[in-house]
Order: sequence, then structure tokens, then C-alpha cells
Amino acid sequence: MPSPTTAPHPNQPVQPLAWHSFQFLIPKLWEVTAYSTSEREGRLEFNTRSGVEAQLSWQKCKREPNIEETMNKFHRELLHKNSPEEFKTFKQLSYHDYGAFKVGFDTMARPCQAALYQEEEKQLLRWIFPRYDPEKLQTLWVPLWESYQPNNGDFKHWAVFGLDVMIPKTFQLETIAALPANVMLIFEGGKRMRLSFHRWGIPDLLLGGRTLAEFYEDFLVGGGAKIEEVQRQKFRGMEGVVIDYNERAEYAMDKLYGRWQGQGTIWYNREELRIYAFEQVGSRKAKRLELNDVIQFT
Amino acid sequence: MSSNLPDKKPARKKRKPSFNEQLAAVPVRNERAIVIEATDQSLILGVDLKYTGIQKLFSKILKSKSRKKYQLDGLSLEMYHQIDGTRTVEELIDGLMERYKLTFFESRALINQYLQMLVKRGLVVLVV
Repeated sequence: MPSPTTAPHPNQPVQPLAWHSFQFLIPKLWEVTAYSTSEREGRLEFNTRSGVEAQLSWQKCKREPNIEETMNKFHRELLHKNSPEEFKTFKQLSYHDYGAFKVGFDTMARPCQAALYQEEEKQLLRWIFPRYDPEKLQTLWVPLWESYQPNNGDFKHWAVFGLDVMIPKTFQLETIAALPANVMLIFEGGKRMRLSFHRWGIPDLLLGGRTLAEFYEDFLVGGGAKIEEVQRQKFRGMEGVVIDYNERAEYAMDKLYGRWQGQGTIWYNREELRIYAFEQVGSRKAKRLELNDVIQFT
Repeated sequence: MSSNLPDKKPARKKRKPSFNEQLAAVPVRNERAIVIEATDQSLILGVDLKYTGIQKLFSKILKSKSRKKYQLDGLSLEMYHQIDGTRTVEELIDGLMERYKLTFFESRALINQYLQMLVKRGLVVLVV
């Protein structure tokens, strides 16, 4: 599957963003402050300490919409609401093509939009930036649009809140919890398997004097696991622990009959001051994923 | 007698400080909070309780406690030490970001959470 990690981004440090059907490289300082988990329709909002930087929305459309008309309509409605005087004289946006995106803007004080129809997913992707800014367009937005890749391979890329993983497309996002310095993503592969990813910050306080193994055991036991075996094992040169355990089979909110076999790996990235963990738990017949195939970061 | 004036002065709605005003706010320690016990790991502070109206009468009859104790440790203690009456909320956020390699919004959420807790307990006030 093509990955956006090689796209040119000359001036700005970037980070990957991969969600249901798309992948981008976004500026490093942009943080996701609002998100929708629905695959059909939703949005992500990006902020920095200076305020809202952008909003990315996705929406299923049966047919390819007239993108210019859609952007123009949005702009007219906005002017009608906020600047009736400008609305009277406004005719249409100025359109340009950058990468796969059609970009439309009017004046500096007004929003800039960029849209793309993903034919395979039958989905309209739309970026909205609060104010058109030619400098930001060149340094931030154009590289962003050019970094776009669809996310429709057999392995789906998920990169958000500092986690960056590749998992089979059969797994569906079940839960996302993005608390400060405590991120969790859970995916379910039918009634057979569940994958959980964690990223914690402020490790000294999190560990509270416990070793990594003790902390992880406590964490898993707190979630209902029965520990079978604990092994110290380095992960990509970092201090790590692998724990085999079993727990009551569960799918969504339902408890199932029998117990599932699980394996959890935790590692401490001292350079980043973050602790990461990945658990896969499922029926004995379910095929396990290779940790190195799944984890894209560190 | 008729009047076109309103009977009551309308209650002034408190304006929520803007994002930038929140960042520029300066947390100040409550001077009346007294240190009861201090170690490297924790700090126990006491704040006098103020009873008003009927509560005052009942507190005397029931001999209610006149002081409430709060123990700070971990991040809340670290935060409390950083509050010196001159550092702004933004400076506290930057300090935490740097120390723990957090992002701006992670640090902001944690600082706000701790400040709210300290304000609620009367240990700190925010000067906007």
C-alpha cells in the first residue's frame, strides 16, 4: 500500500495522520482536538496554541458531486450569514488544483477550502481553513494536500494522537479515548479478536515506583486478565515486557462464553518519555498479528 | 405609579474568558492557606472554613471543624510549587510541556485540571 511518508515537506516538520479512508502528513504542531469515529460521515479538527488551523470532513456521496459548486455554495452561505454586504457582490471563488485537490478561496479574511472525491470509497473529503493565507498555502497546505494517499489497502493505516499502526482492514475501530497523556485505540475483528493500543505520557508518575512489568501486570489485571507468564523482552532496543494472559471473551459490550488468550507487549521510549503498549486477545483459532508488522512508530 | 424601568436590575452574566485571556491568567496562592506539614513528597495545607447565615449558628452548636486539610503530592505538588504569583498559565503549560515532552493541548488540559482542583479547594485564585 502506498504510504505518504515520502511526500515532500521541505520546511515543516510533519507527523502522519491516517484515519478511516485517507492518509496525510500534517504539520507536527497541529493537534487533533475534535474527532468523529463514524466511517460514513464525520470530521477532525486541528488546533495549535494560535487557534483553529483546519477542519477535515468526510461524507459519503452516491455520485461525484460538483466540487466547485459545493465549495461555492458553502462560501455563499457563510457570507450570507456573516457579511451580507459582501454577499451581495460575491460571484464565485477562485479555483486552483493542488495535487489531487480542488482548492477554492476568495479573500484573505475568508475561509479557504480544498476538496477531493474518493471514487473508490464514494466519499467527499473536504479541508476547510478558517482564513485564506497565501503563505500558509505554500508552506503548509500545498504539502499537506500533496501528501494525500487513500487508505484502502488490505492493511489499514491508523495514525493519530501519537499512535501509528497498520492493521488488517477487517478490523473495525471500536473505541477511541484521547485523554491528556493517555491515549487508547481499540479495534475489533468480529467475534474473534480484539486489538488495543495505548500511549501514555509522564512515565514517572504513571509507574509510581513500579517496574514496567509490575505496572503492566496491574493494568491488565485491572481489566480482568489472569496473568500466565511475564517475560522481559526488548522491543526495538527499548526496555520492554511481554505478558501472556487470558480473559473472559468479549465482543463490543457483550460477554461471550469461554476465555480468550491474550498477549500484551509494553515498551518504554525514554527518548520520547512515552510508554506504549499493544495487546491482541482472541480465540485460540484466531491468527495472531506480528508486532513488527503492526507498529509503525518508534 | 407606572414605570418603564425594569423592576430588578438584570443579573450581570459572567463573561467566559477567551482562550488567550485564559493563557494570560496568573494563578496566585491563597495567602491564608497555611502549611501544616511539608516533606519532599507531599505537602499538607490547611484552609479556614467560612460559615455564613444559618450554617454559622449550626457550626457553633455542632462544633463543626473550622479548617479543612488538603494533601498535595505528585503532579499537583509540582504544580503548586510552580505557582509563584508571577508565572502565567501559559508559562506553566510550557514548563510542563518541556519537562515531560507533552504536546501543548495535553499540557494545557493537565494544567487546567490541576488549577481547577486547586481553585475549587481555595488554595489558589486565578487573576485574569
